[in-house]
Amino acid sequence: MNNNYITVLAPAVVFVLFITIWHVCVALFTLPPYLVPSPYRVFGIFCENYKVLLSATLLTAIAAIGGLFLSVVLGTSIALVFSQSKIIRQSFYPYAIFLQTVPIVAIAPLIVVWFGNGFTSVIVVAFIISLFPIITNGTMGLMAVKPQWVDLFVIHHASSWQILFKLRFPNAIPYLLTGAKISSGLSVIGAIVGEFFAGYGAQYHGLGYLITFTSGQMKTDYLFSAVFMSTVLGLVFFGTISLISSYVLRKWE
Amino acid sequence: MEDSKFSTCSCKKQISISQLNMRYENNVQALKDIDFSVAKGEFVTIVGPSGCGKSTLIRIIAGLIDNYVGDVCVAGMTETCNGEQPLALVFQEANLLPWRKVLDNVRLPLELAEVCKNVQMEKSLDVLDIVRLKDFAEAYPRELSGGMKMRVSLARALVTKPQLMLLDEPFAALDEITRQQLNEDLLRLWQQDKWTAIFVTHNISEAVFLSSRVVVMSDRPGRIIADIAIPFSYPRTPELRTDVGFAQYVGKISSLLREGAYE
Repeated sequence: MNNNYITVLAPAVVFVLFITIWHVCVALFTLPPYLVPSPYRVFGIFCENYKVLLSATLLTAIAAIGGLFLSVVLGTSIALVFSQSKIIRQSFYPYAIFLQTVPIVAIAPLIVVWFGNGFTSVIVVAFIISLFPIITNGTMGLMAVKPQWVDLFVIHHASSWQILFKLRFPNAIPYLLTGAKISSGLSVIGAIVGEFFAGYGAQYHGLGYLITFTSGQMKTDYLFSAVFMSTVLGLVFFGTISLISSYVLRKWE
Repeated sequence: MEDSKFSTCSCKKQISISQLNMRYENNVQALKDIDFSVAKGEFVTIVGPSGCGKSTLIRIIAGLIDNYVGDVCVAGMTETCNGEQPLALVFQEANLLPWRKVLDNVRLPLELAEVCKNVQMEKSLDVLDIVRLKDFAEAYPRELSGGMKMRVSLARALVTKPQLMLLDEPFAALDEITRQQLNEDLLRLWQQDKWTAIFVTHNISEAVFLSSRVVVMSDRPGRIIADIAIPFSYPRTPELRTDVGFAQYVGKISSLLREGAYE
């Protein structure tokens, strides 16, 4: 069978199997819907509330895109600065690791204190959680140039500016894209966590708000729909960045 | 080594080296008492066992290493205008930038010298024509064979019209037929423009075929143990490789190398 078919078909078969087993388990063990709702029930709730769910997904997506965009721009800039000297890397890298190790749920309330409820706080949380992979991958790519390439540039009297933007930066692009792939999923997580703490006000709800609200009310079927949408959003982000990456990287292969 | 050291130099030869000694950072002596000179327009090949410091010597001449003792004088190292540069280095690997098309790789030295783009294009297409790769100007390096990549690398070196061409085992990774073809191409280019060539190789037959002089180095610390003039006239044809005299020179250099390795 053609490999492309298998790539699509194999996960689809797993999905169908998973839904079937889920359904059978709920029916077999007569699990109450507030504990584990059946897939059929979740689908029903989704159809009933699809407008709310889609608008929440859109809002979360915008916040995640904002956070991811900021992390790519600032992360790349920080990586460019890091690539300039060993002493800069040694001085600041431990603090960059801090971004990775700090529990985001612990500092999210602090961000809300600083930036207030609303969009800005959600973007900041998404930004903080997705920044580290861009910095590390970007720095690695900027540093990983062949010594002979540097020799070539030196022999031709290239300025350090030219070495940075005509050699190191293009070399770092595959690394930056790998970082962006990791960060794409993280930015969705960041936006949802941000929304746990900072809503958008009474009129607009993101997926994070829907998740806390429905779990508080034991609307497990609704909660499942919201979680499903979060997963789909993460996948769409990852897929989009992967597509952009494979398009851009045709040159680098 | 600073560029000023080159430019203030007034030696009549293209390269003049005396009492050159160099130690690596781990204190291992790389080069010992190197004395040699190269006249303008000469084609000199350096042969020697692996790790004897041939590439180090090339890098010193190129100005990429400065922690040596002794005098290294390279003539005419003042930069000329319009992207023309006195020196070019061709590496063991083609070292093409994979994200740039062939034409963009070739014009890189001119781009770094901030020559106007039309001139960059014109000159780069001209040299691509000389190395017979004009049809591949828009290809990416990954689409080329090893031999073609090396020809692009040569074109990138030639685009600056260098007076001195340093070639550090450029054809080492290629198969024998491609290597012989490129040797013939290289000689053709050298005879056209008459730059000075310093060529490093492990391949003795390649050394004899190309050069007007072969310099033999000993095992580390690298010393010059022989400096042999190759008398065959240019232009040299592939038939030279089957000549008895050619085989004698190959044999002579080969035994010198063996002696140097066991010293």
